[in-house]
Amino acid sequence: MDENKTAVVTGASRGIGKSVTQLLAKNKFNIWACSKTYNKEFVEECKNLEKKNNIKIKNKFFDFNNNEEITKISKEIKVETKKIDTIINNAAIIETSLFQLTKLDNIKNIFQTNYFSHLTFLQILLINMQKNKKGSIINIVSTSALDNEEGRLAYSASKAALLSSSTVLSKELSPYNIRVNAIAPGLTETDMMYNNHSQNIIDDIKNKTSLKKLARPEEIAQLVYFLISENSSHITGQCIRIDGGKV
Amino acid sequence: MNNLEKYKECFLEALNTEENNINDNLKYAEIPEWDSIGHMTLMSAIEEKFEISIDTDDIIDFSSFKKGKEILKKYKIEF
Repeated sequence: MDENKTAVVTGASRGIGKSVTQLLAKNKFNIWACSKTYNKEFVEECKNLEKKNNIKIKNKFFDFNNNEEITKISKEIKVETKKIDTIINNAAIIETSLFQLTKLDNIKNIFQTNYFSHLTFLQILLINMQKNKKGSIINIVSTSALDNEEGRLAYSASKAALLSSSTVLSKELSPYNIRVNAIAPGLTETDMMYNNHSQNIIDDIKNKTSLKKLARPEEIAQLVYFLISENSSHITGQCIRIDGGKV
Repeated sequence: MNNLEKYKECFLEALNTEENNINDNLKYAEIPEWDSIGHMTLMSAIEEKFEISIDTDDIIDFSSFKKGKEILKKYKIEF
């Protein structure tokens, strides 16, 4: 997996991660597609993308709540890949409940998946990028990290932690020519969004945007692609909202 | 080239320092070249030269030339 550029994508089998995987495949990236749950349809799609684009996609399924598994997979990726060009930290879970009705263990679980799993990945894989003195990291956060809506304490805080870490890492990794940026999507047409919002809330939020629509996952993927490409070679430490223009 | 020579070469190349600085007394941050950036460059060089993958805890514990040799024994590199 070394002739083409190589990307590691987490949360690859659904929603934004899936669109990112598809777009990177189209642009001839070899991909480590990391997802939580085995998904036969996605595996088949990856095989088709491999053939169509003459690339390699390695699917890895593991629990982002289990640090031992993350460590094992990260080490495997590190050993098998000479050069990692980009890491897209996208895997996330969400829970909507008022703070006083949320178990502390649930908050910890959300932080593990949405924050600590990405740190574990990065801590192991970064040395690979540092060796090559080049790379780009994208952390998919959320407008929740900036807007802090009620009922989203754990999700918003975990994404805010990831956002803050993006900025810190952009400074720490600049000597190695590694850029780190965050993307904060607003409501995006994904299973996770539909499973966690009532239609009333979706309509309400949609009407509060300038463009009066939800984002499509492909639109987020295009921003990811821009931020990992040479077209954004002077952009680092930024968080870009992609939310249709919040009014 | 034996392992000790390879190990010393990693320090020389990664830290770009004088050869007489590389000895058992050398500790992290004791010379300007072995700062945090130099440290990660050194870890990369050792990984590449010995074809190993150093655990994060070991990267953190790698506090001196001497300590590094102890750590590398875990990776079956004898000096």
